Amino acid sequence: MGSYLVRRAIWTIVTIWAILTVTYFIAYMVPSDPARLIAGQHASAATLASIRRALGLYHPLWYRYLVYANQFIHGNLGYDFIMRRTVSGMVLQAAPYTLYLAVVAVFFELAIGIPIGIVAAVKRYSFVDNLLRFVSIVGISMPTYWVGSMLLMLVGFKLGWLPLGGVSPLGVILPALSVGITGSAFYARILRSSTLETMRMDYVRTARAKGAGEALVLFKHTIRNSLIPVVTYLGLDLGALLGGLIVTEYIFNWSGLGFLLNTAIGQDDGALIMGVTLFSASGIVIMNFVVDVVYAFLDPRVSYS
Amino acid sequence: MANSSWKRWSVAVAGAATLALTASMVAPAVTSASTSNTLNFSFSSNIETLDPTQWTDMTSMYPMQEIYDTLVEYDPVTTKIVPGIATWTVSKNGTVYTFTLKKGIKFSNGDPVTAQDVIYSINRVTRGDANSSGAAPYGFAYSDIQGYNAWFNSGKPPVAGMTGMSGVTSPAAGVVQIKLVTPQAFFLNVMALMSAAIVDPSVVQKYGANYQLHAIGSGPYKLKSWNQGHQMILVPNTTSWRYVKGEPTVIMDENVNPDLALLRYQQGQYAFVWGPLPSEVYAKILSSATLKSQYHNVVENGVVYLAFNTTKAPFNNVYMRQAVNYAINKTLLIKDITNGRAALMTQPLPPGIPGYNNSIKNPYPYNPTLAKSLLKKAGYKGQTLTFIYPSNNTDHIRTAEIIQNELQAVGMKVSIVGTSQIGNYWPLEDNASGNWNIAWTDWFQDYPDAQDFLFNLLSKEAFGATNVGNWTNPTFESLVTQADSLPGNEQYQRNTDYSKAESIAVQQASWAFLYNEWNDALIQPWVKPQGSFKDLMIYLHPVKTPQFQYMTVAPH
Repeated sequence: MGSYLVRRAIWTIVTIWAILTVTYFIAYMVPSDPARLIAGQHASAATLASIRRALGLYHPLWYRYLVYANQFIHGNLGYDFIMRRTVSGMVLQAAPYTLYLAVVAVFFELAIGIPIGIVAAVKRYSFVDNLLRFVSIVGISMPTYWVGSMLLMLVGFKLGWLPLGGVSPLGVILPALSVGITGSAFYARILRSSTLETMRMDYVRTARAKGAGEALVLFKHTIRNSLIPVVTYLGLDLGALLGGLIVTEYIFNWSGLGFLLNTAIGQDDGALIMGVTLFSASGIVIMNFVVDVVYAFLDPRVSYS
Repeated sequence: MANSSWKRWSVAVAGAATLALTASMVAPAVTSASTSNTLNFSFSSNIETLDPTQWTDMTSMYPMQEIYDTLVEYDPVTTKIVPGIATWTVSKNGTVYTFTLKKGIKFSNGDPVTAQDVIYSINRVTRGDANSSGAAPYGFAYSDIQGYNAWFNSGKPPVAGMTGMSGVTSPAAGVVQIKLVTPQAFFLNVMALMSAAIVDPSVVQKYGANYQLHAIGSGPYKLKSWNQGHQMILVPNTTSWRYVKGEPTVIMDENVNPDLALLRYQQGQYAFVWGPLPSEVYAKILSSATLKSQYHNVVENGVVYLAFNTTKAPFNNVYMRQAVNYAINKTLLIKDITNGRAALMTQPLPPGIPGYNNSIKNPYPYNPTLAKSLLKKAGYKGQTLTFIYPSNNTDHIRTAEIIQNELQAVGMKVSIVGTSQIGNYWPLEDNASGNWNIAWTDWFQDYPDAQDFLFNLLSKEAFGATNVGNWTNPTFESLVTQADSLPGNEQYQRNTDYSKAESIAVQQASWAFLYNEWNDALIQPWVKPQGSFKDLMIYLHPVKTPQFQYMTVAPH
């Protein structure tokens, strides 16, 4: 296990370095003048030259890349001269909001998806199963932004039951639910397949043959093992949510990384786009690493050789 | 079994701990309006700064205008310059301005506002490296002050009690004298800019790079809190000379998308939705009788136009430029792009700027037949014309497509090219090859003076910068230079010269004149102006941002 962890850790570092390099050069290939963005339309040529000097824009790109990479190694994502704050500060302020929203969203995904998957498997090939599978397909097909907008209009505006966006204790419910409704369909389908497969296993038949009731067979012997692919998907899902709640956070004005990225894109803020992208991508890579370790920890059948 | 139970429990506990930890780190980012005398509204972008040396944008001006004072300012309901914290006299030749500070003006922390604070503030915004990101964007506006160049290049930091520019002195207690190199009739407008806001040197020096989070002024409001990118709260500064009894608390949410802002307005949480309102929001207003009754608008002091690259063929030819003007159906463009929320642009100046030529009505009515004949006259050879526009906005994309179709209908071959945002948008400055022929662009006033438009956008000195297409005309240049150099007491002559210059620019088709946009807003019926200010200007002033101290919140 030790050598496995070391190998995975090295690849994680290599992947993060590759992400840094690709995002840096893409960000600076987009034609943009940071000095003009900072100084506005009306600034004079002398002012612009002064700002460019202060930003180090007269250094060659490779030099600026090495400086950025060195800063990144020391946990510094640079200074955003448009927002006039450190990128690390803004990202670290936003990240807990996204993590919180992602965790609550996953809770809803599981709370909706797991019962649907189990019932569909138990009632396999029946009308109930067909109905639930149809609901899953609809759920997968619905764009999250549409579900979110509908929930905002109906629950937030028309009924006034929950806040109209923004960060508050109740404000997390609607955005998390909009992700949960659409994301639960994946869990439902995965769990249905996995449960059906587990139900066909010899040890389950043996349990029935020994006289165990259906409920005991289901909850003690079947579901636990059926959850393994769910755990795998859960880790990937959480990682993806950490980097992919841009539209949801925009619609609900939820102050997370997606909200920050949306702000950055709107003002052509290269430093902030890079910082959020790098942070989120690194988070996904690290989450994948954690999933691999946890997965093996849970399932001793996994070999590390 | 015990081992697997332990594993299950440890995973469950880890999951619960993660949820609890992240929930505890997530403090509410915003405060909702909980008191009755509160005005809550939002912006779709950031408040960028509260530091006058870094100020460039309108959004930041909303809180800055309320926190700070300037020596002079605009009347609450007109564009007349009136005393701010100082009265003034001007020498006959228009080069010496003497400001006498009003007595008893204090910053919100109790420090008196002194002449030395004014000297410090002006020198701070004009130094060559005013902040860690280089020179202040509006420092150049003070470049006609004696001693500016030496100070700009000196690299010395501004400190309390400093000397700085030789043209900024205090000949007596409570008096600041500013000497200019040449007369500048619009100098008082420049001194009313937010970049000339008076700061407390001790607070600036105490907080350094974090000053703006602790910004202090002598205005009618003070900063209570600022969660940058999320929410700023201003509370009344009861010690200010501009304080009005009963002025409301102001809560400004940042980065709220326009659809959500409208929903919050309709629910009664927001007192306003400030414009310019996006087309999709305006469409919803039109479909609601209630919202229509709460909608207000004024014509802005801004221009939207197409610049021509006059450094090369074919737009170095006046007939070609005139042909473009006649080929575009501007009335339809206004309807299509702005939903009718703009006025037809007839000349380089917007209607609210002194010097606007009222005799010019509609110099280029839509006339494709005339456009075709002018193309022939210009000797257009059928080469492809490159039309560039900023592609960050769907309205710009639609504008480019509509105009492309109209120009092609009269026989021009046009290729439209979207560029990145404003940052790379000054084609002749940033693109040495000048590989464009037509460029969509716009300009909003710095101050309501013709110099801000005619000099900045059409003079030779602005070539390759804000005079995007390098258009010039000797008579125009001479008239504008003459008018710019007249002192303020010669406004009649200035207006006459500017009007003549405008006629030349129009006749020579310096631009394709498109439209002057409206500024608009939704205003709740329970927001009322105070006292004698029963005027829309309190909300939609041509220069000032909304003046919250003159508003009250009626029970609702």
